[in-house]
Amino acid sequence: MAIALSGVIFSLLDPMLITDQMGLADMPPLAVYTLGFFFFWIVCAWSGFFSILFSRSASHK
Amino acid sequence: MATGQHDSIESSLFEKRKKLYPREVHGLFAKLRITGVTVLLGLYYLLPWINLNNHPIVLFDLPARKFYILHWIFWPQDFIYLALLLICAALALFLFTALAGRVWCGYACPQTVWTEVFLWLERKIEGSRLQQIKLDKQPLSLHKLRIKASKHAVWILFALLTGFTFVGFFTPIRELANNILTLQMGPWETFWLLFYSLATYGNAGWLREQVCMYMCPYARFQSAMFDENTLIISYDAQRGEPRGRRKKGDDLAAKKLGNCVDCTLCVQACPTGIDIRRGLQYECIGCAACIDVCDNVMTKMDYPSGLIKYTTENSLNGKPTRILRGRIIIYGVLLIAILSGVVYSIETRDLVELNILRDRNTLYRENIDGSISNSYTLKIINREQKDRLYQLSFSGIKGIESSIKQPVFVSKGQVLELPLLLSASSSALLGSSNAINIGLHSINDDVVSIVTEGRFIGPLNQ
Repeated sequence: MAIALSGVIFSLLDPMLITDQMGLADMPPLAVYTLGFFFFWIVCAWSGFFSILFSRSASHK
Repeated sequence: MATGQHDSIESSLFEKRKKLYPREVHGLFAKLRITGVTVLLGLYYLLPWINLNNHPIVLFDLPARKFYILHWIFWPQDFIYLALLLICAALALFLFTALAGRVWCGYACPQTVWTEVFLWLERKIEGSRLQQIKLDKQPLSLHKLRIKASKHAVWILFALLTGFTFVGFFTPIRELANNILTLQMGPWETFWLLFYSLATYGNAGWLREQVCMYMCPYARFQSAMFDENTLIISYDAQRGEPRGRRKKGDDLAAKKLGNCVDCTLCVQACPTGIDIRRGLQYECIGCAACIDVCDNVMTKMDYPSGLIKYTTENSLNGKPTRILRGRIIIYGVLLIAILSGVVYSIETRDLVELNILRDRNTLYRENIDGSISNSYTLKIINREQKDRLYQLSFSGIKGIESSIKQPVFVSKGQVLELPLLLSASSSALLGSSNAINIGLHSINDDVVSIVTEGRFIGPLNQ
């Protein structure tokens, strides 16, 4: 899922534009792709975690 | 879901893992799996080394935002192809799952493929299943330490090769190998090499069946794609029960026994440690190891093979199995149509693209000599694996003059941005907005010739 999200986002947005906007122009593209991938991975992992948490709370009521 | 059932599933997640020692299996499906492993791993490890037109046949050049696959180059604007290919992958998964169950899990999933190799290496170093169990039960000794250290060293080496190859899909692998030998690897390449190696070592060496049982979402939603005609691995309980030990040649009717000799080899061979005799379970990855091992036992006992076999729910219930059914036809037709469309579209797309971007700050400029000028940025994309020299042509307004007179060189796979100033006499303009045509023609041959329309803006009183 994180791979697909990275593919979609980085196809639409050039990572160098993002780093330029954030004032991190020296950051190499591979670093941006790597950090982007792990960001999406964490987002997906947290969404899974919350799904379990909330479904558990519901079933325990 | 009932609370009790939910609690039991949840508590099973926290149980201490019992290490599995899958038994080595020989048979038809084992051969198929080994063939699958060899072909897939062969492709994985060899593809980055194969060059086409002095370029790797597969290269995902992220810094340059270009993907090279065979003789094609893909750009971020070709994202539609990636989206369509993902749709094809999903459709293929639906089709093959509806047809043959978890054939992907059993034969082609990277987790299965690499686990198979890690198990093979483990058997080569630690010995058979029984020898492995015996070794694990032994107290720590120099002999045990030496065997375990050898196994992990070989696993780590293989994982590092896998990580190196993975990075080789994103950086030309020969360059990468040279960088490693000269200790000039970039920090992010080093990170990905180590990260992917660690992931391989951890997933295939340590986690193994737990990835399929607890981490993979596919196991959980596969049942939605199954129907009564889907191929599943099933134990023929009618024939096998009552199970029990016996000697070869014993009278089964007299002993009131079925064909199952209760040898538990099917459980020992299972990479996820399930007992297929308890029915279809979500942990079953459809590898058919239990079929092979059971068939071997049946042959030795002079019983007909197929006590555990690929079958369908309909077949088990004595009904005919239908291969061609609505969902199979729909998935198949959609898959073929989209895949053909994608390949046709890629093969027939323009080899060069010319985009004309107007200067947004100034609509037009009036020069001292009375002529009108418009500023543009030309964006030329050369999708070929070949350098090109292009001549630009301009038409649509009589006597239009361009700031670019010389041929333009665009190297293979380059996106070239050029500032362009077009000037025309105000008397030649037909209105405030005039259509112009900008052509791009390859000089050395006539292979590439495209014309793109743009607008030339003049004063309102024209």
